[in-house]
Amino acid sequence: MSEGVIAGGWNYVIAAYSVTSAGLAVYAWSLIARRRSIDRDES
Amino acid sequence: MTRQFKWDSGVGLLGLLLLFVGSYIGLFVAPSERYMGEVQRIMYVHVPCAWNAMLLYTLAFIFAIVSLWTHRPKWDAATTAAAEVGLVLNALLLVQGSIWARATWGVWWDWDVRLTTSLIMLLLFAGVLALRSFVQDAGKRATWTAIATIVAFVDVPLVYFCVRWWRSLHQVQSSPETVSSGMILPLRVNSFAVLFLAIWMVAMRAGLELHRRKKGLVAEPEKIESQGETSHV
Repeated sequence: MSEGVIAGGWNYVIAAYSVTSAGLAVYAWSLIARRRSIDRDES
Repeated sequence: MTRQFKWDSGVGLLGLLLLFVGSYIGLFVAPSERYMGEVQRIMYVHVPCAWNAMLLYTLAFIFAIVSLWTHRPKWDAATTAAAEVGLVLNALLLVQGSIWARATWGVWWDWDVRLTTSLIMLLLFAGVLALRSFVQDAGKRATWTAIATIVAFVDVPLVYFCVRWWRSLHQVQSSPETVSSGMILPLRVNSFAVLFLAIWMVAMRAGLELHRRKKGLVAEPEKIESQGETSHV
């Protein structure tokens, strides 16, 4: 390991990508669910 | 779902596809950074969220001015939608930044000027949406939402320029000349991916807001105006 270089760190990368995909998915799902609820009410 | 396939769904699907491609390149193809190693790969989701959050807040600011000017419900819906999606990206960028900070600075949080102004930005726009939910009168709600959005936007340029104006732990903005060529492609692909997803989300959210008005879940401004309770909007 070279001095001043961060070794490893994949766990942080996985955490950041997981949070991002989960956050975007939950918000997108909430929009779709609200839209579906409206469509159900209309039909 | 009876809703027909529309242009915004296509943009959203394109955004999703690009996000997979950009993330794959960022995680498995792009080179690791000389000092931060693999941790730097967080940049490919962190920076697109930051850019697009600030873009959406800027759009919300423009829509708010148009809303105040025209008093049309569609601009109020657009202001709310842009602010809400911007808030989601703002929250994500703070969490991603916190994870990146833990890996590189050794702390989850520091009251650094970039981090602090980004947190204030989140709280200000959360305040805009909270204020909106408390106002029953549709006309007043649109007016207060627009005014609060304009006030909240003051922090956005501060977030962008603070790293140049004041001493900060956070690095200044990079440019294609200052990063490795292999890092530019995933950054650009993911930036457009988040942009396209955000366009879909804003279109969906604005549509929901307009539908609420149409169905009378929100009082129409004209009805209130005829009752003499408000003068505009």
